[in-house]
Amino acid sequence: MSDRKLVTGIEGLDTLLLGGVPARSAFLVYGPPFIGKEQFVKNFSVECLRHGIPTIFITTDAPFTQLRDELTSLDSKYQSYETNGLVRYIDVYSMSIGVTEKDKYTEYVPSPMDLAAINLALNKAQQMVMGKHMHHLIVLDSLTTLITNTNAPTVFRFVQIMKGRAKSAGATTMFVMGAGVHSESEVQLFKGIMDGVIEFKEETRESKLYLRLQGFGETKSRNWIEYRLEKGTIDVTGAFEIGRIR
Amino acid sequence: MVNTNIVVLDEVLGSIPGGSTVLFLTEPTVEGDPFVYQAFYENIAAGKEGVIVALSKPPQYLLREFEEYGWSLERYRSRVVFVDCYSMLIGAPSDAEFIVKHPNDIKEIIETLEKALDSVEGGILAIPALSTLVDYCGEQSFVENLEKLKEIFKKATTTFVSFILWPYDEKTIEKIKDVDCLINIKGIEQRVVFGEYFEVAKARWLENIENRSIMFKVIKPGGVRVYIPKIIVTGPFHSGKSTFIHTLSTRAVSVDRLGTTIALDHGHVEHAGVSADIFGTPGQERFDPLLRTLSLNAIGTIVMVDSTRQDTFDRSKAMWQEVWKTGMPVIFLANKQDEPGALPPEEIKEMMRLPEEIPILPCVAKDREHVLKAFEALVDLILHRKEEEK
Ligand SMILES: Nc1nc2c(ncn2[C@@H]2O[C@H](COP(=O)(O)OP(=O)(O)O)[C@@H](O)[C@H]2O)c(=O)[nH]1
Ligand SMILES: [Mg+2]
Repeated sequence: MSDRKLVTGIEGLDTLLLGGVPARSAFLVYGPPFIGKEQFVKNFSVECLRHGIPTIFITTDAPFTQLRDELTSLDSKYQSYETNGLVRYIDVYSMSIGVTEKDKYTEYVPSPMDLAAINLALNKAQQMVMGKHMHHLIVLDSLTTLITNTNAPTVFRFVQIMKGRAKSAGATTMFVMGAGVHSESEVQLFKGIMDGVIEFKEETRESKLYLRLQGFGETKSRNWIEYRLEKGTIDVTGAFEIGRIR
Repeated sequence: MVNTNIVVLDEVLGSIPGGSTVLFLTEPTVEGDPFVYQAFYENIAAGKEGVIVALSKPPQYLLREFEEYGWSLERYRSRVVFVDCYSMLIGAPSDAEFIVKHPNDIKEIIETLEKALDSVEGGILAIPALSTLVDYCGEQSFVENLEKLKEIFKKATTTFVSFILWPYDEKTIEKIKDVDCLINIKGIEQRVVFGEYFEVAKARWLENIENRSIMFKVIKPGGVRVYIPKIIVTGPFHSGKSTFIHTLSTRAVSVDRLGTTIALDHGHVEHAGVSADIFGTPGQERFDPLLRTLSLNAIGTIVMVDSTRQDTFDRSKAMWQEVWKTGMPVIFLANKQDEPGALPPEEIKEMMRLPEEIPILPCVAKDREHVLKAFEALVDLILHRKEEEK
């Protein structure tokens, strides 16, 4: 993996991104549930871990143990990433439903409304991974839950701070946001401060799936590109090179 | 009399006049709430009554957090009144004395707060993370009601508030800063926040304020401690450096071979509201370059003298001269005072021809009382405490 790009592990997407997601960028993964957004987030994180890039997961919608199970089923070596100190969890879900077990890789935050506590936990997790590594990845899944628990302006301020600090720490940050939950102006607000957006959508009439890239500096195409969901991973099938052949 | 019960901060502020609001203005990546907790708890423990507002978490979580710091509010539960601005947001039950039904209605919060303060006839008011209220009610509604809120604060004996500096409108922040006493809490940031400090920006009852930045650490249990990142202990071979560090430290490691320090001694001490890291230097001359490196970034030095070994006094003095150039506070310890034939400190000072202003104290490095006294003396020098302040 080059110093400047993080390979996503999804071939067609890496070609579109001219090698991968720019390191140290903050980007949004946006789309409705169950059509590929979740697959992308997991595949990308595991790909980074395979390349030795530490990853900090901030989970607001499920206990970290669920994420751990899902990632283990994606990559049989997942446990070794944990034991090698590459994985940190900030679990913003479990305490609110009253189930927490001590885990050496996990920091709990009592409530999705306590954004300051998330920030402090993140700083602590960063201190642990940064000593030995140049880059790291931060995954915040999801902005949607934070926004529905507070409000867009509050989360926006939080993202401003988090994004700025992530950049100076040399981190790449992936924010996940659900479509169909927020008002259009809220969506634009958050898209606006990102370095890039990967957006997923479904055309129900033709029952086809499309993805699109915005921002990210130079890319091969900014059009909607067709993809398929194959065995839990994304297969970009749309032709995007054609546009270049005049 | 009301204090914050945070060392050094109390020395700067003195006792806080009645009706004052003390604001801890906090950068988002450092901890300000523990200042409010500590000030509140210590005053309650000292017999006062108080009101605490739960904004971003339920009261039972707040209680648990106090517990983690080693402060059992539960024990004084009859003197503490909770205002719960959280539970109704998530539809959870609450056994708080006062429950705000619509936490995004700032008027209801103000009314409830007033009732709560009346119920304890003043008392101490604590609002950790007041900024959460801006988030609940919106910036405009918050600003419009801020003066009213500040009026309510005056009903309390003292109000302790922390406010997190998210990127709010500058005007909002200016209005927030307009209180009796303002303490900034900041991070020393380089890629991540690796140090925290506070400084008193304003206290209406003081004519002038010393311009001082004080590093701190938040410790569980323990609370806010003034933090001294580096004290070095130097002195000749066999003078008692390792012994001193081990007696002083709550945890310590030595890299020894055959009982001699070949690399570093390192210890950590928590004492009298101060938290410090201590580093010992090897005594042998071949390690002098290491002493030079170690003294970089150090904030204070202890020079050990073996009071039974006149032949090593020159060596002690040479080691002192090595660090003296940096201008950092230094004290000498005339160690092994329990041994027959140990020379008294003043005599040693004379024999070494040390400048008058350099303190030299008697010491027995195996004795915790002696060692703590020496530590306190150095800390006083480091924190520029004057005699009359003690
Ligand atoms: N009687 C007495 N012995 C001491 C005292 N301080 C240190 N020692 C002894 O002096 C020897 C050297 O101490 P050590 O701490 O290893 O010295 P260092 O070389 O400066 O680290 C050890 O045997 C200690 O037990 C003291 O205050 N009184
Ligand atoms: Mg030694």
